[in-house]
Amino acid sequence: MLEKNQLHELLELCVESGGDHAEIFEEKKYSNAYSLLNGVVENANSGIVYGIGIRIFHGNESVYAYTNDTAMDNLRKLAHDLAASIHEEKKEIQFELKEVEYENAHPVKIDPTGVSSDQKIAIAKKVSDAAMSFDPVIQKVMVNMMDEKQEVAISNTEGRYIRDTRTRVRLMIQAIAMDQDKMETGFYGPGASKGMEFFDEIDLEEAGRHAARIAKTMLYADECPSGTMSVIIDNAFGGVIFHEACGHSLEASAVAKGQSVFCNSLGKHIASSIVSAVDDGTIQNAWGSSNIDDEGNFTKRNVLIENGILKGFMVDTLNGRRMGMPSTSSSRRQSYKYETVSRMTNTFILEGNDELEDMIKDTAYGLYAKNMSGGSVDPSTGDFNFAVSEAYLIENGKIIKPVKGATLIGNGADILMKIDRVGKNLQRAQGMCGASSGSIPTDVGQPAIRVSSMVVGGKE
Amino acid sequence: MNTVKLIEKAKEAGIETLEIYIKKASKESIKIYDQKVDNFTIAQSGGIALRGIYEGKLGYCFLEEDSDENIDFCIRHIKENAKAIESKDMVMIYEGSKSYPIVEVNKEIEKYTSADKIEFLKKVEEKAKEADPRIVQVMETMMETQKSETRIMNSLGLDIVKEEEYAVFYSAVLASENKDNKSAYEIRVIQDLNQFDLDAYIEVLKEKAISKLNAKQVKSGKYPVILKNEVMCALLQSLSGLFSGEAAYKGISRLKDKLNEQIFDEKITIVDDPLKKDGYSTTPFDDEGVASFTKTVVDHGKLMTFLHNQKSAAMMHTTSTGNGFKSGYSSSVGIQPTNFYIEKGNVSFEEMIQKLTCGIIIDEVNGLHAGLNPISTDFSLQASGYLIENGKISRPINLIIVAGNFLDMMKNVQAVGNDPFEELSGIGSPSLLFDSLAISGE
Repeated sequence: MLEKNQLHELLELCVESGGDHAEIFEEKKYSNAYSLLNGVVENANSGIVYGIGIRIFHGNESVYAYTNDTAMDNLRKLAHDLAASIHEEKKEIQFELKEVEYENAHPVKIDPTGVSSDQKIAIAKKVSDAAMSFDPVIQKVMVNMMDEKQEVAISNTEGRYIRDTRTRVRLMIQAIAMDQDKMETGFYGPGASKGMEFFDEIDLEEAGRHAARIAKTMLYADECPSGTMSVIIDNAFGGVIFHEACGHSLEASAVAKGQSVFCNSLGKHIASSIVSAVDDGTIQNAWGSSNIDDEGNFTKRNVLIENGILKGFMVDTLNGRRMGMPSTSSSRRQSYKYETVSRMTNTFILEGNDELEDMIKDTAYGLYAKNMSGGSVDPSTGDFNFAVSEAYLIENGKIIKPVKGATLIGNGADILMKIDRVGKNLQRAQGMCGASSGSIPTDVGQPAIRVSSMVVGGKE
Repeated sequence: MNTVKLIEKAKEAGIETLEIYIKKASKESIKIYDQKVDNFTIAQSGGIALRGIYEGKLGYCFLEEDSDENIDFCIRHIKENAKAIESKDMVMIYEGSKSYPIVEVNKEIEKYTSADKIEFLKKVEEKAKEADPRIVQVMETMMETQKSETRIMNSLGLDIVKEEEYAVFYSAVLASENKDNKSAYEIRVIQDLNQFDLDAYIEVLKEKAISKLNAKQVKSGKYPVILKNEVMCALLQSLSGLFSGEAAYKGISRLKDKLNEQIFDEKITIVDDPLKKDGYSTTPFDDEGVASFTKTVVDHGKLMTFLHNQKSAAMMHTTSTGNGFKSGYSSSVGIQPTNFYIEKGNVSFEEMIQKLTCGIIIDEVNGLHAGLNPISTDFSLQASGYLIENGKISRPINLIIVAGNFLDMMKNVQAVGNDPFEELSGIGSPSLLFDSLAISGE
């Protein structure tokens, strides 16, 4: 990693031709990944991602450069070339780099980079065996296990110099159930910003069975009927609806240029009054947490919606300039190869007062979406879609049968108003979120909610 | 890194054969917003990926920090990762093909400076904004130029290099009328800025946004559907794994036992052509160093071959089709199609529309990563398009779901268009007409 005096020299070069703020993001990430098919290790890969990203602001615009050739001569040239793309008068910028010391809020007990591959593989096998032995229809089980340790050092021309180490582990389990020509899958992917202790804390066999159970249930499910109906979306990964339908439209990258449906909605009712939601990057050891964001600011718990009223956006420094708002420590990126921008961390709807059972009882005809796979949204219109990986049909207040192939579509602004029940069973689940600054770990979450009417697509 | 020293040290450590894959790339991207350079990025990136055979197993390791100090780290991890492998699959590192095809790299874009590109993008933005009063914002106009070099060398004596270079640009607009918003973008590969027909481009972009304003749903039901070429490409792209030899021998492709059988309508022929002139995925060799060649994958509906890398070919007792590609330099070698396209037919898009008394054109689908099951090939996707009544487009449609099963649907194709479209990935297709797909709406 670069020394403080080297960073200082580079930062000074960055602002030599009119930039008003410069930042250097240096990263070294160690990672290991193992993939197993039916309990047999098929692939193992390890490596180091290393490089730096340099960003210069001039007013509301930015320029960015990245490289993995960190010899000082190359870096000087890169900083100079980048600075030269700005043609303004040099500003008076004086700074001294001072390291910000703090206590790690996400302690790791067992550093995965120090654990042998045998031990990691033994964990993955236990999960795989549990899924395989769940039922004879489970004929393929793919388990991927990853661990990574990302060391970052962020410095800028305000004199900030701060470091963080983000350790993450995750299991991704895919079970395939087959019967003659039929084939269905089930997925479960638990993870955390923790070390190997995470695998002692969760029930590994249950994790394997979870994926297998979904696959088996769906194998014998009928096709989902289509039409407009009430939809109950259960907790945990069900929160992907909020992530897609609302979260992305509350990111400053969409809001700053007037490209979000929620641009002028601050302080207004954008959701049913029983809905409150937050983005919280501080939750201890959560998958989407870190001590600092990728601009070096301490993460926060940001209230997005309170009792249906829009309270805030997720803001990064540059978009904050455009919006006249301070950063909410929401700036994130996959790696030094991406310019950092406002993103979600752990985003979820807060608990309400309803019981899931009562929601089902009070639904004459509808869909109970127990597990989701994923979806996407157009932030400029709010139109979204997501797929249901485990669903059941409700008739006269009772679950009558599993159904497969359901997709839910709608418009974020519209759906938020139609949430008429919010449950008590809040849970979060792990995912990877892709956007302009790459693929990053995020938690989605919610208690069970009911949307009074939604378009459900299926083959029947 | 000193590759000679690396190979030597690896041999001493018991790694019989070592492959060194080196990728070097440089990139420039320019984003224009409101006639200003909103973002400018320059980048140099690269990495070294190593594969070594140790005790009969293949160990992987990758690095971005190019320093001799990492040699020991690499050797340790190759050995450890090789030891972890339990699969009895055959492993091999390729000694090289007898000869390699010559592929021309189009370098027209190098004539232009960053300033030329900025001027061009500003003109695009300006024209897009002026194209129609309902275009309320040009959200982003961007160009990215990338140049890369890939070198594969190994301890068996192979040492080959290829160059790639491309520039793409796109503009995204937001149209609005009566509080109804519609965004649209159009992405293009560009070679010579001065030769580019900008007016035609703007017309396409404008139509994409404007023609969908005030779109409504349709009644749920089964309809004859034209899947526009771009939508067919997106489906084919997401389902290209069906043709993977690896998925076939692992038993996770629905086509696993269908070699030499009729799998699609006989109007359908699919070709994988890595040598296509100016194709987006044109390449002289794959990521294992196997020389590229053209093959027919589906011939009038009959499955002729799977796509193979070295490993899947060995598992299925055949030879590699030169489709061993990595998804990134550090990934293991998987299987990817190159310029993989459904051959065009002879029915024009207008003729397809005229055939229908009541039907639907779908020209946009969303959420393919979630709404499409790559194994069962069931799909249920958010879509938009147009309603056809009495052989004419009557109005735009939005927020519907189209559902079906790809393999079933492809068994019965009513018409194949003469309008081939090629995605940036190299996947291509004309528009296809199907007699019945489930549509969910009102």
